[in-house]
Amino acid sequence: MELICYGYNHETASVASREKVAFTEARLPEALREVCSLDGVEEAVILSTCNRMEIYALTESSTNVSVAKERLGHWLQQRFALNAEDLAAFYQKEREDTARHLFAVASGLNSMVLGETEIFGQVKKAYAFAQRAGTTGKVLNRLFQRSFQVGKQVRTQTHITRGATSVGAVGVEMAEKIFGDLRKCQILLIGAGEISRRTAQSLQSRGAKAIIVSNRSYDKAVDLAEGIGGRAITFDAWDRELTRVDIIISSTAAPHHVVTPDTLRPSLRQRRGRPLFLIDLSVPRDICPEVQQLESVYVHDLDALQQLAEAGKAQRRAQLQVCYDLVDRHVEGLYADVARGQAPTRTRGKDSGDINPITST
Amino acid sequence: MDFALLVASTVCYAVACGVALVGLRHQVRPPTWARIGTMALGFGFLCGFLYLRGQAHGRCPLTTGFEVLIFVSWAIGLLYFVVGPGFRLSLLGFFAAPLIVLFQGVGLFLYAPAEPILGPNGKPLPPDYWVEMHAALSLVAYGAFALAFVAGVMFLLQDRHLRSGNRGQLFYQLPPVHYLHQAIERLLWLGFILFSTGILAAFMMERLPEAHKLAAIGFVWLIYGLIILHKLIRGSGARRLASAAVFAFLFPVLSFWFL
Repeated sequence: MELICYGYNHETASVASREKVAFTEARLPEALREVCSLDGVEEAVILSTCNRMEIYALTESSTNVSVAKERLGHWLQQRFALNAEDLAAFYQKEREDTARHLFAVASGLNSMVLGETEIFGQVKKAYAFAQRAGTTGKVLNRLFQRSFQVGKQVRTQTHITRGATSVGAVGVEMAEKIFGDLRKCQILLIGAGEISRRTAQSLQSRGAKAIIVSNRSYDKAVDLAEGIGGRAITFDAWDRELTRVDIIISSTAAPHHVVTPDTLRPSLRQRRGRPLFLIDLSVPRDICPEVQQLESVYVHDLDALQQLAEAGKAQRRAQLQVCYDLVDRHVEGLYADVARGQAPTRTRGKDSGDINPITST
Repeated sequence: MDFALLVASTVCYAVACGVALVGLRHQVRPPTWARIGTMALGFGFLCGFLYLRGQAHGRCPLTTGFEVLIFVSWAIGLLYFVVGPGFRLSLLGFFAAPLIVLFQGVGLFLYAPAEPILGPNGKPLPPDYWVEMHAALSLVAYGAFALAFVAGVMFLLQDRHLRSGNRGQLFYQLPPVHYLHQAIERLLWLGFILFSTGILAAFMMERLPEAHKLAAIGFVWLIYGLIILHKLIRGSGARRLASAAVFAFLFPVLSFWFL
């Protein structure tokens, strides 16, 4: 009996290949049962997200690992009508490599955005599906439960999730260090560009509620406001909102500065020290750099945000070794635990020529 | 016994500093018991110390410069537990603890055993409650000013991080500038109100404090009064308020020479 993993991810497969092999939630139980009905497969979990599809399986004691992997490949090929190029994108892992891979996946170490935490929930969900479908057993239960432990430890004991890695996330991180709770924050969008919409949505995802959109073309402002649940105002009215708003995201195509110290100064006294955070996403810049000198005003332009995002990525990459050390300790721990718990099977397996699911290398 | 409690309290606060420092250096958040527990233990020992001194004197233990220093440390600790959780100000203890250790460290050198305060007839002098109220309120106000100083330093550091985009370990540990600004403003108000009440209590005392003491108290009151007035009338910005809270604390510290 061996652990195997058969799958692809964003690094090995193109979007075109990835979209071919996607399991919808409705079809997952059926797929799980089909995998388990394959000759030589005893337990199975299917993890299917937009960036990866992986089948974790336990082979039967009488089955050769290569044969089991071949059968899985054949099943996938038939089910999704895959061609040779699609199949070339699949990777195959076995024994400790399977455990190591799953632990890394659950910890976000194998994700497109290093250290992202959404995958942890997706692994949990995949496991819960398999449990409900009755396709997990003693070994995969132990493996997945351990992966949740690893995921939590990596998140809490290392800094892999620290340091935002995209322009929107850096904006959110800075805003949280200025205001703390974003639920009380009001946002003003000057210009209705795509990047400002995305940044505003990032802030919304952290609780920011009131969004005001101002654009030279009022119709566009209305469209965007409707799309994000905000309120549109005319372009000549945005400076009247300065005493109320907390975050301004500017992305107009203006060739000159739209926000200057003189525009802000009258409102600052009324704000009574309440901070104002300005995010300048346009080139040439909308916000005059001298604004940064004003009391309680924080400005970040596109360059600064991109630099911070790069620094965040580097910060996370620097944590990789620490995380993998932790993962490796857990792989060893898992094998030691199972070796202790399955000692009788191990002896019998040895006699009968079987391979222990975990301890063999 | 009271000396042992003072030493124990100082050691606890020093450990709290050390724990936070180690956490910062190794980029890990120390466990709650290590961060808060050591501070709470230090505060508990200090309460015991003040209780024993109060028993020995038969009055509020504010009879010497040494006791005044220790009382201010106690007030900083007390306000830390009131203000810190209220504003979710993580790391306030890390910045407040060195100040407490400094005050108590100096206090240890100035230590003198407590004795009953005797009148000219050799009998214990009955306490003047207005004196005690004046001293206690003024020193708790000093505690509030000290914590405003600490929050001010934290604000200025975080403000610098936010402007420069430097996201080091401290950036993640320090609280948001908006919370710090609110804490500074409220601590200054709290300190000013307590200090003003303490001054009013001084005028109710049987004998007014000496002129040089009154001048020192009056000067501190004026400085903080001006800061608050400026904030009220001109709506001064957060950075200016934080700088003022840091700078102004020099005056309560200097006033110790006169008290």
